[in-house]
Amino acid sequence: MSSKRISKELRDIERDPPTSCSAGPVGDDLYHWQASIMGPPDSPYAGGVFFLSIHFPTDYPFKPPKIAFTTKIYHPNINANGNICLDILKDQWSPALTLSKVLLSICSLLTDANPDDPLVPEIAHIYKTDRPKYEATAREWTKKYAV
Amino acid sequence: MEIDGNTLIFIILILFLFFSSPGGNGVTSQYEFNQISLFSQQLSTEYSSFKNQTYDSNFRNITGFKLSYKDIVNDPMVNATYPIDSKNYDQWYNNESYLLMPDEIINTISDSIWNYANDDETNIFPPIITSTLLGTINLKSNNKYEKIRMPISNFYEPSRDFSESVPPLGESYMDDWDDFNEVHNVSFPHGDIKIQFTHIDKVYTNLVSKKKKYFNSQDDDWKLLNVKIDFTDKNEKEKHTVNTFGIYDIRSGRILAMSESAKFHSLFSFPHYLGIGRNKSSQKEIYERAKKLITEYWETSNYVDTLTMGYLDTFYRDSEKCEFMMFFQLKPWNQYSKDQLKLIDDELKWPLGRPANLSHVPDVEVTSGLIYSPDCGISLSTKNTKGERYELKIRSIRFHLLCGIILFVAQIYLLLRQMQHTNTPSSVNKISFYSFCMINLVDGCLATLYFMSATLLPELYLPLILSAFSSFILASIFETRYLICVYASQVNERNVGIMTLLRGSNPEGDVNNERPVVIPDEASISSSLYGRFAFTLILFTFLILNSMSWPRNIRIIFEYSLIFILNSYWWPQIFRNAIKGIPSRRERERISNPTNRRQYKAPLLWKFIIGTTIIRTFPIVYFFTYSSNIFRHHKDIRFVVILSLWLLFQIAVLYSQDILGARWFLSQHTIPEGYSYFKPVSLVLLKEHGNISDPTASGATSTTSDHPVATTSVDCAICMSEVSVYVEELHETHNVDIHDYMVTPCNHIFHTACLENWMSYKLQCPVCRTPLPPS
Amino acid sequence: MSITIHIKCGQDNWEVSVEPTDTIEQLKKTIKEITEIPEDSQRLIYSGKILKDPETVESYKIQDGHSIHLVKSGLRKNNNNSQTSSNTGTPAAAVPSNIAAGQTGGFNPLNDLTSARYAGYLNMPSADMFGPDGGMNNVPNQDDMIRMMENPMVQSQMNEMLSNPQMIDFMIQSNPQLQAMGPQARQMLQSPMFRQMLTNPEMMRQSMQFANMMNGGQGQDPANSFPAPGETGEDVATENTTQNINTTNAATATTTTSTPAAGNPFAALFNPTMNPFANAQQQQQGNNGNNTTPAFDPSLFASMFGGNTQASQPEDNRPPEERYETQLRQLNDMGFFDFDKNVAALRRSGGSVQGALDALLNGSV
Repeated sequence: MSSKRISKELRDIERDPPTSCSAGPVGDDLYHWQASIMGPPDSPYAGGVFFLSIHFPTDYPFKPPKIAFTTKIYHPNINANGNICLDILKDQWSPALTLSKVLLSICSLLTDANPDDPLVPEIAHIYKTDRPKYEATAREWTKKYAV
Repeated sequence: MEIDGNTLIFIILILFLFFSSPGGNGVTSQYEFNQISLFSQQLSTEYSSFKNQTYDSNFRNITGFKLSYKDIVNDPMVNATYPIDSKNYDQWYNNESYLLMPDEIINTISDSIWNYANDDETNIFPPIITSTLLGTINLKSNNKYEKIRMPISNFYEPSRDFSESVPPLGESYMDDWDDFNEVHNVSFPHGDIKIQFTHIDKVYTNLVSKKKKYFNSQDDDWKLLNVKIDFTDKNEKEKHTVNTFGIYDIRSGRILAMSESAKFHSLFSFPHYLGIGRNKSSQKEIYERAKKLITEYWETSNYVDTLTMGYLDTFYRDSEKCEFMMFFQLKPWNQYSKDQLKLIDDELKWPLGRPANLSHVPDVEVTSGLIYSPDCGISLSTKNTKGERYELKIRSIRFHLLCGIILFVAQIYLLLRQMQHTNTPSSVNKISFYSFCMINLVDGCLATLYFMSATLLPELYLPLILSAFSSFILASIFETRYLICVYASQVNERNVGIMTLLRGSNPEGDVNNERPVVIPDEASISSSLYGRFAFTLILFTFLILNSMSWPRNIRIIFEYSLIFILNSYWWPQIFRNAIKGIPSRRERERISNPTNRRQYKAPLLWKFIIGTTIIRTFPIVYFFTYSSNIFRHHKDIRFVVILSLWLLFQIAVLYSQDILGARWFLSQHTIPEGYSYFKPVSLVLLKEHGNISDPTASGATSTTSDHPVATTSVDCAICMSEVSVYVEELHETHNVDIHDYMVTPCNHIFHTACLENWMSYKLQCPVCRTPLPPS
Repeated sequence: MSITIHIKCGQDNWEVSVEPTDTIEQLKKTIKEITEIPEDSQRLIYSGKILKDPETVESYKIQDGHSIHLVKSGLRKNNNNSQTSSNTGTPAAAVPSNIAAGQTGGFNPLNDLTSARYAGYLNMPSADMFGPDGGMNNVPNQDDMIRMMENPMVQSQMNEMLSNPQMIDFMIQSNPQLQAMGPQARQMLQSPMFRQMLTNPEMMRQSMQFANMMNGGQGQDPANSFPAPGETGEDVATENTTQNINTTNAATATTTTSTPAAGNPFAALFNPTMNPFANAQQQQQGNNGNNTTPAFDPSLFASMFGGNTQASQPEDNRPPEERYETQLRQLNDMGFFDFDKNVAALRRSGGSVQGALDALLNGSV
């Protein structure tokens, strides 16, 4: 059941990928994918390409896929290990969500961070108090790691 | 330094506490200081009089013992102020002319109470008798004997205003007071008695030091006791509590205990009264030894110097009550030698595993006892009052507590199995919230009661805390957790009450008033549930504690009905089953298939039902059938039988629901049906959802070529493949089984397997996140 | 049989038809024709991967009608950039990782710093000197490093650390080159000179810039736990490295002249030779004079500054001109001026001049 659905998703994403995201299996393993997200133009991540690793659980789509950034990124909701704090990847998961929808959600998370539910409180603090500094750091990191 | 209001209040408070806190003896005013000095003066005088007194001289200036029974008989209104002219102070005989008792009582004591003469020391009595004895008491005579008038010194009275500095002098009589007779009457013929013996081995030597000192040089033969007596009528309407001071003659097993008060300084009278029923020579020996004991006690404790206001107040307040003299005869433990008794005592005190055979240590037993009140003229008798040694009692309570812990652990295990069994929202939904509320309430109450008793009984602290902890874990972690799950899964349900079920009202009537849909949020549910749980628990615990002091009749009704109600815990589940319409076992097996098997489980494990019932009934059965249980709970086999039948009946109904289907006792048409996921789809709905623009034309025909019949299909959002649906308007779709797909209340369509799989994770529509009713 | 693929770039969408056997380079050329974006700043992403130039379209399983993402990278860093600009772009590799290496070793000097032995040193350097995330995942970059080195607290700690024999042992153990140096390493590390240099921020800055340049083209941080998978590092060019050496010779020269006795102690720290730069310079000059392409072994620099690329074989690490120094001089004296051939012959003969001569005369090299 899960492999059928994943291959369906793969077909869709190959044919018509979302504007700023791309994803596909790493090798022959259908359950292990990698994805890339282009930094949204209206965000300090613009110009960067961020890579993510995706692991589908065997009971996908009833359990959310495990998604983590492999590119370092300066973001209040993404920690140094690349873990993403996003509700739809946790308790708000719904089987009607697809990988491309999730990737788009991550994209919009890059544009609009959620500093009230941070994974890295230090960055969230800077985000809230000193927005220009946050943007400068994010840009610098993007330049350093994602270009 | 700046002083603001708060600081000022604080300073005032501190100063207030500082000045108001009484010193060692609690004296706070000149008046009280004078009271204390008069008190100690009085006692010193009496003590010197006691010191000078010999075996054959009468009581002289000792409060309460200035008159004898004979004096009262001769002149009921005799003035009891020392010295009394007509009295002979230099003689002593054990008869009513000298004692406070009529000859009849004296004879009873010497003939039938203290009748183990034991001059040859054939009988052996236990040296240590710390225990609580229970038995019955009978009223011998109420108004048969004259009441001895006992004057009380006026200086005991508390000051009436602050200007007073010198207490009044002189004496007055208590029987002048208004309600004297009401307080001083025992109005029931039969009642229950509880005697508590505690040894006084050590005394404080002054007010400040916390160290205690041994005083008794005749420890092997004589013991000083604290004897507390409670006697009530059978219905516990009338209660008398007397705290007395006693002397235990180990050689003959005699205990004499006398109350003390401002009008009755009984301490000095022990030597004479212990001689009742003895011949002259042994009377003399007993007199001397008892006098020595009293003197040692007095001197070691610095009795006069350690007086406090609290003591004085107690003395004064106790003088309102009747004074009691108690004569008890212990049953000898002739099966033991003295050495064996010592071994048993040592083992009880410091358990090291000596060969003492503690399980066969007999009870401490008062074979016969007489309680006489000289100033109220009451005499009571008791027989065969017995109780376990205190240490043994503690041991048995500890054992019972450990058994209780095992029951808790078993309950936790069963609950965990049950939680595992119902690990999906759908199956939890079938559990009755109220069944588990009842179970939870009992466990929570037990936890609170255990915690409270742990603070009261330091000897049992560890087992009590363990029990409290295990019951607390069970109640507040596992059961409440489960309750939260159950509650969360049922929060959006329309109330289908049991009345609706029986009346069979049309459920369509309720459909119109849409209730706001609550998204179950575990955090808010758990906080509100925990709040309710804690509140009910406190209320309930107070009720139980309060009920302990209610009159026996009401208390028993309360207890029985409470036990009965709390043991009806399966009824809510029975009704829940009926409401949810759980199919019978055969039906479940029929409709189950490998993909959705978990949806058709019975809500409760049979293991859990039986186990829980046994665990919860076992303690009740124990307390109601085993007469010497630790709580001394009365025996009532009839109640236990009724209760067991009640529980068996509940289980039988549950079983019948399992076999015949949950609604066998209701007629089919009266039941409001739950939401059905299996229904035909209308064309409008299909178009609305836009999956197929024109199902007839474009004909989302079945992809398989060997199925030429055109079906209409939508996409299942879960597996992203097509679902064939049954559309009423389209005849070509009528070959589709409506059980192959499910339509949610929000009109989304999924494969049955897909949605049921998802519903085992969460009861929420995958597409629009609307809460879903359980299937 | 050509296939049509969609190129997506932001909101733009182009259709390109390619042969499955075409390389990505060719594809990029095609794209350049349409979009006028130079190949260098084109980054093609398909299936979550960056497409590499030498691979073919087929090898990425790109099929007809599929979409490829195109990202313009105007920021693509050029290796020929000036020294200052490369500061920000390149993560520190050699020097910081060597000092920070203690964080992962069995004996952890930074752990020790926080323990009672160093309790007297108040104001421990705070974690943010390692970067915004506490430096747990990334070695600090040079700026941070230099800033840290300039901190007097750190300097005194460095002093303390270097005077601690255990610390020296640890440093030597954790670095195979130092290990190979034997007792001299200890002597050197403990010498007040060296210590003074380590605590001299100016010196540190210079050497770091040097290291930076050496490493500049690689763009890969071996110590970085967070490698970018799409990063190819394809433009690492050896010839660039040599150019770098040339441009920085001046800088190195100042370093060497300022400490003539010890040569470049930092180089010495990472390489058993006492003065590799002198060697390198000689070599370079000689080569320039001969107008031949120097056979510069890139692994030399990797071993000098990476410290771990060839850590398992410290012996082979030594460049041939140093290992065969005397033999090469003999061969030179004999009239064999071809460095490459000389080295090859010596390698074959195992360092024997006689054997090398035979090989050279036989023409078998």
